[in-house]
Amino acid sequence: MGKTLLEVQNLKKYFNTPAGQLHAVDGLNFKLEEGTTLGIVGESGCGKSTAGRTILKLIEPTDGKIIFDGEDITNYSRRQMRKLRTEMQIIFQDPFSSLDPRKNVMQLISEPMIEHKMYKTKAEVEAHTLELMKIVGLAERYMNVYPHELDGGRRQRIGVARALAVNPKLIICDEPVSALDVSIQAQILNLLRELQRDRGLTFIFITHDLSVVKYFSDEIAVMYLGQMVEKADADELFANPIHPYTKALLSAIPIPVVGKEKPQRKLIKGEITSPVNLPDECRFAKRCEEYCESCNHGNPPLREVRPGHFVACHQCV
Amino acid sequence: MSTVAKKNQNEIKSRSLWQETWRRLMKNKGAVVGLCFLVALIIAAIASGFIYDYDTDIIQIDMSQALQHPSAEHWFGTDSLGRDIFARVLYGARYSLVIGMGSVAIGLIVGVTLGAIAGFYGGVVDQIIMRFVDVFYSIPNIMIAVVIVSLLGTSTVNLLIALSFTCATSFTRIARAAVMTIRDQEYVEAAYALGLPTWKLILKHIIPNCLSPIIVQVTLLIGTTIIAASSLSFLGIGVPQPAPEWGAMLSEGRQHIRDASYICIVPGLAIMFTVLALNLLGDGLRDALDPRMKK
Amino acid sequence: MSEQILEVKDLVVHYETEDGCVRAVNNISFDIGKKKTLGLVGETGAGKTTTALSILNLVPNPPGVIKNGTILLDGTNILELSTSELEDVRGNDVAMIFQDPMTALNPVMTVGEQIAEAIELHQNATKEEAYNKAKEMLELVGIAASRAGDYPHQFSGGMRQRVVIAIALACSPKLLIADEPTTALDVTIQAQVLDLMKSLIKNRDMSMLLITHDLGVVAEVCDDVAVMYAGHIVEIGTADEVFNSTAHPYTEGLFNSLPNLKQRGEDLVPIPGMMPDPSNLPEGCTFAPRCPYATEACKSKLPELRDMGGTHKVACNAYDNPNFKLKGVH
Repeated sequence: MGKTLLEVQNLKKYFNTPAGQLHAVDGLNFKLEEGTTLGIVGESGCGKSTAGRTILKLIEPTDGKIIFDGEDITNYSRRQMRKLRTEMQIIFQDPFSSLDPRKNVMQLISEPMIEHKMYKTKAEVEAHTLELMKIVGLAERYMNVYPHELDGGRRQRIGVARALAVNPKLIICDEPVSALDVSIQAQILNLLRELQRDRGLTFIFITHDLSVVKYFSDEIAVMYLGQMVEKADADELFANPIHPYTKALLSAIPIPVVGKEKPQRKLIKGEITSPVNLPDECRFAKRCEEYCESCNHGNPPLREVRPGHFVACHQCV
Repeated sequence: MSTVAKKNQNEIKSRSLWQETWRRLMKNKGAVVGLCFLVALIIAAIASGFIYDYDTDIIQIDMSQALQHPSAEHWFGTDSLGRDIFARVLYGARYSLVIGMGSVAIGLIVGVTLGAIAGFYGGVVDQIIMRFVDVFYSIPNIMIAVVIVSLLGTSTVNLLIALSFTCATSFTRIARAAVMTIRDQEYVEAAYALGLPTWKLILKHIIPNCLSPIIVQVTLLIGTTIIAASSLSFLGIGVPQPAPEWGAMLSEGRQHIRDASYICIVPGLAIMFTVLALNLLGDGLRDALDPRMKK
Repeated sequence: MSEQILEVKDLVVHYETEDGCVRAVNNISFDIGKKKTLGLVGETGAGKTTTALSILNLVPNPPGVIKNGTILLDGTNILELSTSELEDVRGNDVAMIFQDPMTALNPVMTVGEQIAEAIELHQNATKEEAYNKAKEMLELVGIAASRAGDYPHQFSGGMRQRVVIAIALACSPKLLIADEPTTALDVTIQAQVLDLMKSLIKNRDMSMLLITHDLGVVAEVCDDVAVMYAGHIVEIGTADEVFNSTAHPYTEGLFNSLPNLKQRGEDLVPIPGMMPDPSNLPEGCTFAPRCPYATEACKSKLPELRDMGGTHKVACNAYDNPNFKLKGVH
């Protein structure tokens, strides 16, 4: 088996709000092997984006440990982190707001290389930038173009090229395709996958779209209100979802098939509750179909039900 | 021929946001008129230094020529001390422009620095800077200027310093608000994730994107400052006599407003047109920089 | 009375801007039958929203100009109505739901008042009657009537979209235009809202034009489907015809781009390139530059909709060859 690139232990991020403590990420545990992809799935407000940013230490964690490439980086200073930025990168959701509108494509892609002094001469930086543009499928003629002159797909390619510029080991993709049209989505997903194959990249793929992670991930973690409720190998998760929330998520995806047999849709009632001042019970209990008395007895821990398949549910264990 | 066509096809017309802004600005007639007037004024102000000799043409008293109405020899007439008003108004542009631009420049540097720090760091730093600014904001501009000029003495440089205080407070507020919005933009986070240190983040990504409201404020404030400088000179605590500052000229012409009104009218119009031009340009810039504002 | 609630014929809408003419909608025609739902599918910039806005004559003018076409709503041509007549139609005969439930509600009015406002305006009801009706509407969309006095910020995204639906349905319109009604919502909430819309439409004598980019949503809700590309309708027919006997290469490309139909491990088959700039459309078939089946002829000849049997129509030159068949979907 490959070596562990990232390990997250009991990662917590709380925000203090006027209403009380907001548990954005509440005790996340996982290990990520080099060259694999972990998909983190959940609806808005489940803390998946905060988790991604906390792992990169763009936000300081409240508690827990982040071990990257064998080193505990939890307490790294900003300065120490700056060097590590070449190892871990992020691709953002919105290709419209994540690119500085006053910089052109060349400046945007070369910025990280210049910042980390990866090349000695300007010509080398330029050559490498052009190479990156080629890798992500941006024609050379876009070199001097500004992001506002490009469409979403091309902008996202710039985002990918920037992340690649520093030769990172780990890339966190935060909803990299959800702002794009389907036909463009497929282009970007294929690109990311090719890059993983060619460069042995490790991905954390954060998304709300289960169909996208299925295509992309080795392992999938489902998050609900700051916690992982289910984690398993991708095939296993889709074949045998155990947690009622995972089941609901899966059945909620509208399937583009007409007239043929479709699985009965199972709707869950209500909406995600506020992550402020959470009671000590199963966080999904209020919306759960299989709710019973015992669900009130504390927040269920993540337990291994089958080899490699973890579920946090009082009923399913 | 065919190679040229092919090349054109491959070349992508690219315009940065600044170029876009310029293009939109050039479509605004008012702004173009304002800009042309200001450019002409600046050229005239510089040229006046070469055409006229300060001691003989601008301030030399010649009572034999006093109170001459406009004529071919003296286009705008002469004042009560026999000085040519055309020459003085032209030369006076130097004072107005230097004071206007100078105090705005000082205010800009101080204000934007403070505002950027307050906006970026927030919290206690923000509180301290902004309360300090609030205090200055609550005192009338002219009063601050009067106090400073009285303390330091009347001179062009002191007037400039006095007026820059007001500018600085207004820039601090604008820069802070702009930085606070830009700070939370994803591309700033993206740059941080790429490992840029804070100062580069502010300098390379935040400030350039905050410039729109600041540029507008610069043009508008130069106008306000020119008026403030003239008011102070009119009151006698601005640019000292006998320099041909527009406000001071107005003040001198006061006594002759019935028999030689042109002595007042000409510098008055000079102030008016300059400030109008600046405001036209400022409004044009505001629309050009933020096309969404325009209907 | 005609069988169709809405008939759009030869609609052409252009945006005339400083930088040139944006040809947003180019000569499209479609009908919506009584109690039917038509799904208008396409990507960003395909002209879906412009089409929807023209039905209410709401295209922002300037720069938008409806160049040509008739829009018959239950027999009356919308484009010939006066402003006051149009106001009567909007909200009363035709209601619209927009994508973003966050901005569609007035933040300083309670939701009850907002629903009642629509009823008061169009149905000569007293304030009290309208407010009571508003409460009924809230119950109908699954919100307790006791929440009528709450303000929009006290509701979550999904609940707000329910309120928007309640406002739209308050006057029992004949036609509901829903522009990406669930795109801003989470999947589980989307499923709830879609179910709600489906049952409301079934129970009322109402037709719907559903605009979406999501083929899954179309499959869930729509009876008929029109696929738009660069301002043209390239394929139209019943959902069954379009999904199960896909005829246009673009529609096929859309299906192939979807990740959820694929097994893991395979690469997706995206449509290469991107949609042409609507201010600079290519001559001939607009899809030709991205089309795997395109021939030399496609570059010069603009395809017209041709019958494929039943209500199924497709605009593709390849069918000039009677033996032509797509390589197959999925």
